[in-house]
Amino acid sequence: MDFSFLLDVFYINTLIRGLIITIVLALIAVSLGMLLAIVPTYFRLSKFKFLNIIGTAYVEVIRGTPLLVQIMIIYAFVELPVMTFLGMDFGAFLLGMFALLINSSAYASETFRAGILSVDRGQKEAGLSLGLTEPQTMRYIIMPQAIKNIMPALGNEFVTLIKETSIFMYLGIAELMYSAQIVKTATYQTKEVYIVTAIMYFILTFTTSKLMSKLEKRMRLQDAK
Amino acid sequence: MPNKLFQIKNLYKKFNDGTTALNNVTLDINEGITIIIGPSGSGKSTLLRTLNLMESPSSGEIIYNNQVINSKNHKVYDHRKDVGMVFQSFNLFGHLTVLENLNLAQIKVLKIKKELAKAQSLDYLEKVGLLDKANQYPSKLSGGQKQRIAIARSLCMGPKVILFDEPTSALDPEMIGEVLAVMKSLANQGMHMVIVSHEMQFAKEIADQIIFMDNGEIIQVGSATEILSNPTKKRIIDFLDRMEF
Repeated sequence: MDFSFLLDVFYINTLIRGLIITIVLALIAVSLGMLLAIVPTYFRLSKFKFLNIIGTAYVEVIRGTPLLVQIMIIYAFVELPVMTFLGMDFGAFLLGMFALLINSSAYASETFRAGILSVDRGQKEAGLSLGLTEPQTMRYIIMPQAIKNIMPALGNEFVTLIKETSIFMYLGIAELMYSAQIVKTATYQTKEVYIVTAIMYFILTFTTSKLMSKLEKRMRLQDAK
Repeated sequence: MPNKLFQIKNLYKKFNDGTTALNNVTLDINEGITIIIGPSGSGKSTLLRTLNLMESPSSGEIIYNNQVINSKNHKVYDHRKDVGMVFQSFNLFGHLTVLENLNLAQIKVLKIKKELAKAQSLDYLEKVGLLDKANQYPSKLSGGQKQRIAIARSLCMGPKVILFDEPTSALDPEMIGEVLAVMKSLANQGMHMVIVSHEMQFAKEIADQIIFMDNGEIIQVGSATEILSNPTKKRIIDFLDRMEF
């Protein structure tokens, strides 16, 4: 085993830049994905059967097919011109991000739905009985309690997304996995480079899940106050 | 003749699973204190919950203040400002402090300024004897305290009527008294109340009108003396016998 490439500034910079791009991709995907997830969640909880079916179909199809296949389909259908931005193809980035957002919104919506259903029905009734409207009840009473309930699941979601970003390698986005390829090709240290890459992913996901459980604990403490 | 609070005409409620909870209910609920009694599954709670449209009737009419409240163009949210509700399981908002529980609807529904809402909330907390719990979270309170807070929360909206859905059924016996005491003092101050309850002694003391229900039907409407002290209908006698022990 030869880990000497870790001492080379160029290689280590390449990997760290990859790591940063991975973090940025995951952050964008998780935040916008959660925002986007509101739509299918609303559909699935709606009283209208038609919306119900659309919401359910969306979530089931997206969750039931591999992300890589989804990205390839989008690529096959949409062709964007090559736009270079910060040394990457921005068109490829947009399409990849679009696929990742759709994917993460489907998973997040399933989590949201479970969270909303986990809040006791009496809470909604109490809100309505005080004259609050349905949207007000949702916003001021159900959502704050649902979010607390789904924190652990959202944490898992975030960790999964971090790993999923490795798919951007296929799109030529210089995230961690792509950077690893560069270093591997230059050094021929295949095993070592991938081991280092795995460790970097692990540090990232482990830190994330620790941070999430800390956040969750703090919310619980607030509750018990 | 006492004034009518609710006029109920040919009310039916069928649930999606096919059970009929209300079977052609026609009656007047007067101002004052009305207590609904009857065996479990008799439709008492369903009847109560139609009065603020927590449950929408399948057919029939409920008239309040000269308006058919279950008609399509009736403003249900306005109706609920007028008709408060207290639940068996309290349903305090777990993520809010006691004070925030009381403030929320005043600010969002009545559009009262926060300072004013707070003053009013504290006033009602004092009335139910729980001023010192204002900044606590509901999880720290006993069942009796929770229910008194729930009553205060309803009072904050300035309702003309409060509906009580088995307000003491989820309480330990030693806590029932404190909740009934609050309800009695409300009655003395002229609040109109419709109460589903199994507390027969309380009903005897406080009720202006008692409704006995069974199988989704009204069996008899009358005074406490007529129904509890000198019952004549067999179903009521049987029910009261079972309650005794």
